[in-house]
Amino acid sequence: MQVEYVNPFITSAIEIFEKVANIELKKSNLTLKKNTTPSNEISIVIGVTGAFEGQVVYSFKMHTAERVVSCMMPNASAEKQKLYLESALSSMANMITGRATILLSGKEKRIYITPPYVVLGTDSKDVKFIEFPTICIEFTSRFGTLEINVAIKPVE
Amino acid sequence: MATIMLVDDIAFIKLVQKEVLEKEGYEIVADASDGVDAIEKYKKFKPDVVIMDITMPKLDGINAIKSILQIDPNARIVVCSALGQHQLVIDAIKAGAKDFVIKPFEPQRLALAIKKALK
Repeated sequence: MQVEYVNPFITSAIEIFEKVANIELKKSNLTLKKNTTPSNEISIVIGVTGAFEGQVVYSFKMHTAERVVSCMMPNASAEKQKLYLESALSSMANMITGRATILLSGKEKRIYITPPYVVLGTDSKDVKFIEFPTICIEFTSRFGTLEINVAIKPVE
Repeated sequence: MATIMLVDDIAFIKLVQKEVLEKEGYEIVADASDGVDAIEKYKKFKPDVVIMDITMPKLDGINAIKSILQIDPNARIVVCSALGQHQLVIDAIKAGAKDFVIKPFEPQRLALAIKKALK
């Protein structure tokens, strides 16, 4: 798992959070892990295939997730924000991963991603967090921290 | 005004697209959450324009575009996807999409893509 594959996710997360939610993210830490198992209460899992393969897991504490969604839907009622919470976070994860794949793919490669899958907690029966060298990128924001676990490698 | 069908597996994206397009005066006549549903609803509602995502369960957007164009060679489809990679944009246009809008999109960009498709 090379650091150069991580930089597109850092750049994309900062850009997308600013554009979509008007939230400033600051990268605070990078750690190496053995798998993509997230630390927080709500996570979005996206698989990667094509020229790269692996998994990216976005993870938020619930109170941070709620504040992020309120910034994405500032004119919506609290009830509507709650209704769209998982979907709004899924769209963020999808756009960040999509933007990162543009940076990774260049002019010739194709990288595909799976539809986002929402996991509450860390114990999911329906999706497996992969055992693969993972770089965990931590960001801080005015609403709390975001964690992006990146476990991808190029397909030879 | 023209009718539109929204195709995306993420409900929040369709909510945003609906708000943008209804402000422009378009009528959203249907929405679908995967490529298979998109084909069936195209046959039923025959929208003037389809806004199509790429990454979806059951059938992806590129293959859905090809199937819809086999049913109706005059179908107008605009791709709206986060996967704005060079080769994937080419694939979408080769499949028959009229335009490719990358998410996150500016409202004016999506509106322009619809106008272009309707010409």
